[in-house]
Amino acid sequence: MKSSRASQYATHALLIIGLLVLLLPIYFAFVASTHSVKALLTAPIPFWPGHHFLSNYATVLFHGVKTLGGEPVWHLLWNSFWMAFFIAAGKVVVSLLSAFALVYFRFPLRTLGFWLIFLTLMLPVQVRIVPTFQVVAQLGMLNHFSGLCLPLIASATATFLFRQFFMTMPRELCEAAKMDGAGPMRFFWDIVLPLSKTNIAALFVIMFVYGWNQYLWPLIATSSANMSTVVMGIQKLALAADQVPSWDLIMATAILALIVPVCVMLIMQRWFVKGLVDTEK
Amino acid sequence: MKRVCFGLLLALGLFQGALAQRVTIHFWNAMGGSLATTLNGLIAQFEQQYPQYHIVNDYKGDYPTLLTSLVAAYRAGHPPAIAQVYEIGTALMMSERQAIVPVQTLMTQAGYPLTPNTFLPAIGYYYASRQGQLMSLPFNSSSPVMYVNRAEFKRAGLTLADIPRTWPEVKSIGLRLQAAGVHCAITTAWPAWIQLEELSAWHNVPYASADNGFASFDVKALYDNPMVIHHVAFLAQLERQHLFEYGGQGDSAESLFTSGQCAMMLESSGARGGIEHNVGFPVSVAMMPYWPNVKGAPQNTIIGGASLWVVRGQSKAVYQGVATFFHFLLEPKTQLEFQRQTGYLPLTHAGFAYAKKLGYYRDTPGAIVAVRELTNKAPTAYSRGIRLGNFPQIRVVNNTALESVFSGQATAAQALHRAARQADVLLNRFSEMTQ
Amino acid sequence: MNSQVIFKNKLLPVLLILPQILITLVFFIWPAFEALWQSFFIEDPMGFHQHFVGLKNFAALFASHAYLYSIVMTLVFSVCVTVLTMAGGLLFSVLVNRVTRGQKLYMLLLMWPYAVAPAVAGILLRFMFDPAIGIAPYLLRHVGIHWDYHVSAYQALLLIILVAVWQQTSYSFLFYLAALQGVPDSLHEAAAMDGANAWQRFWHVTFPLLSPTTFFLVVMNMLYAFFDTFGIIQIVTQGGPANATQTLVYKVYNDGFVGLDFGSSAAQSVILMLVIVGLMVIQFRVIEKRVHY
Repeated sequence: MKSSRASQYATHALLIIGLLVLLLPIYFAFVASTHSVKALLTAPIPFWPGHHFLSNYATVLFHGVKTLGGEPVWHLLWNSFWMAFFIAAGKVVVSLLSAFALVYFRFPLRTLGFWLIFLTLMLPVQVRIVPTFQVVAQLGMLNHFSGLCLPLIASATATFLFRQFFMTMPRELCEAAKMDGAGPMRFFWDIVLPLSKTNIAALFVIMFVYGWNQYLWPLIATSSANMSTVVMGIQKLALAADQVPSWDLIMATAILALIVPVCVMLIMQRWFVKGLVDTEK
Repeated sequence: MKRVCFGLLLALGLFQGALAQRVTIHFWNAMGGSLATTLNGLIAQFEQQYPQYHIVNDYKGDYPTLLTSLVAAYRAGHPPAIAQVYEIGTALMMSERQAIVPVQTLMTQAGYPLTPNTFLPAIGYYYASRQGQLMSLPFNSSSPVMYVNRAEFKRAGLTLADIPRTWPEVKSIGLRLQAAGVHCAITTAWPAWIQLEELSAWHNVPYASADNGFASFDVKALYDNPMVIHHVAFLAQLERQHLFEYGGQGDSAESLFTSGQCAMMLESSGARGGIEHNVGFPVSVAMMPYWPNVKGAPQNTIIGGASLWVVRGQSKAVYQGVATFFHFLLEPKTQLEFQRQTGYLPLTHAGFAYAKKLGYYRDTPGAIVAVRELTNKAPTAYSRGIRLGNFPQIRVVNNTALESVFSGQATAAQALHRAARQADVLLNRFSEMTQ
Repeated sequence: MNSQVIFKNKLLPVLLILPQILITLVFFIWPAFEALWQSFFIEDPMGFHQHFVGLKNFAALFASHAYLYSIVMTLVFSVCVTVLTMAGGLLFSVLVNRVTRGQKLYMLLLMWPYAVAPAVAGILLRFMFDPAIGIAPYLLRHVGIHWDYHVSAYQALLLIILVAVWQQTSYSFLFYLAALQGVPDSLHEAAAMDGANAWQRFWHVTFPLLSPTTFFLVVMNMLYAFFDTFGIIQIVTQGGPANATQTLVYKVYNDGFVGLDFGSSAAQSVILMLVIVGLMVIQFRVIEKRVHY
């Protein structure tokens, strides 16, 4: 089924228009981040990048923005990175263990455990935001790294993904391991894990982006500027009352906030797509 | 060499010891941007004078966020010593009596006695309990004033004497401005605050029952009365004649004034510094207009802004430090410095007299208008302030109502009656919550 | 495969599943019960007074104009976002599937908005649509449209829909592309031989084959619009003007955290939980019936 040259050109043209529409906000954000705030006080803002790229990004990275409590954005990026990393790693580890237990063992709590995990699918954080906050406050984990990451580490989708995968592994593998006298953990370590590598990578990438982009939970779980993450830090910048927003610095921070997950997604794009498609089964 | 080292070590040890003995006081506030710089300066001055205290400037974001964090921290057992709460959160704080230490008690016990009468009347009474005890420390207070674009006035052949003092004059002057080609005569920021709450106090008309909520937590909204309805209908009429332009809630109307489109604007006195700094035309500040046919008008305005609350659960040493810090903040020269840098109002009689004596109001003519409004007459039961539960939500209801009037979707009477009934529901809920 | 070879240990699996169960119990189940419990009470913010009111919080919600408005607004918002993102995603995937060269590149260039946090997407587009300095209002003024979403509820709603669509279209795009690439060419050729043109081929052959994906995407996009758009709303409109863009999730946050009315917020949370349960039941029921493989 070959379409004509003309229709190929038309298709390309349409796609390029669509691309430009998608890219426009990022372009304007980048342009704004390279100008001084004076250039951004009246419409229309300049169309081409300005000369303040280095100074704006340096200010934002090393000195922060005054209305943000002056927290340097490199610190926020650092917090974001570790939060995303621990959430992703935590989810992967916890889900691997749970899925392994669910598939390869029969034990009294098995059905209960399965349904408890399933129940979490119906309880996204937005729906239980106030009581989860109160629980975390009672446990003294507010404004700490633990409070930031732990509530987000249990993931039903990851567990079910691994469970699905484990159930498709051939019985012979397990039987062979048993005949060799290997215990369950040996089997897990030597056989199951290596076979799950691609799934683990895919899940890690998806969960890292998910963790990095968390907004609501970090917003309420942290109260001091030095525990903020870069995505939730946008809020303080954008909502500074009684102040003319310094768009140049805000846009620089926004660009910095999105560049990491976008790069992760583009570089690991094969795993990302796989993880996305798999987790939704 | 050894001597030097030993000396250094000793000094270090003493220094550490001194640091360790410093009493740390956490001050949660919503002073961002340039206000943060001002606050840091004040704190530095205080610590220089009283090195045994260390005040931690904890900027928590905006007022609602701060209040939420305060509630969470209190429930978790780690509240700060001082929290800055906006004026519309006063009813809530007053109802949580067990969580706070009344400022009057704190100061008297620490040896710095004060009462609500220490302060300018409209300021002291706002934060006083039913029994007349000062519960929180007034800190950053403002009042609504009218900003005038003198360049536009000149264009229409008007002088300073023509600045309208009454609302009928606003209309007649507005027509003259319009004839001279001015785009819009007047706009307002913070519609619900200025056009409903302050309007009521300025005309000595009750906003809510039980003395505007001061006498009891069982309150009904009263602002859907003929005077207020007439005023809002008047604004809607001005809007149809293109004399009044609605600029949104909050302070988004400021851009209508600063861009030169509207010749007059009603806004908080706290915005004066920013406005005078940013616009390219000369600005005058005048008192809010009033309705001359209403008996007792103009009465006095009530303050906006925030106050400092002291939270229970700290040590005696901390409370002594808090009292000392408050005493420092109330010193006339600190008040003057604060006024100068921020545009907020003087707090005490002494502070006002001191600033006057040093010629501050002579040098900064715009600054005295708000004070004049607050002290125009002795406050009555209807102009001490407004103390309602769920006040932030009530403001949203009122802003929606005003917006529906200005977008032509409802008449003033319909919108205000509906808003008042919705406010009653909110007030009921608060009363149930605090039972 | 249910007859899996299993290990005999009884303690080990419990230990293995324990971390997940613990976290689930502490951070999911316990708060869910707290929400249920709190929804039957009215209490003051600091927790000094608490009294039982039965279903009063729920009744108050359904009698409140603001809540009913929020339900309608959330539905309108979600339907608009779902339809637009899926149409956009479908369009892009069809186009990308048709080109003979550069498919990989186009895929990369079209998929990245999904990695942008909703809140960040919000600030980017808010800048473009800022009434004072935004480029879009500037252009709109030249065609006579006065853009100020701080004042106009319709414009505010339009803007948040736009942001959500911008950010989420790539999600539908990725799934549709994967599905399209799984449609065998032979089917297209057979239809072409029957005399169908491209348009007919698409709607009568391809699209029905995409129905599982379509259905799946409807559910996922509705869930996205309901729950994941909090960041967008807070950054762009803060639920305004005057609560005109306050979705149900935003209201839960607003009433709980800003309004400090925990009873009402808890009741709203309970209602939302029931909504999700309902959506999932529908999803599973329909999936069991409509298998188009």
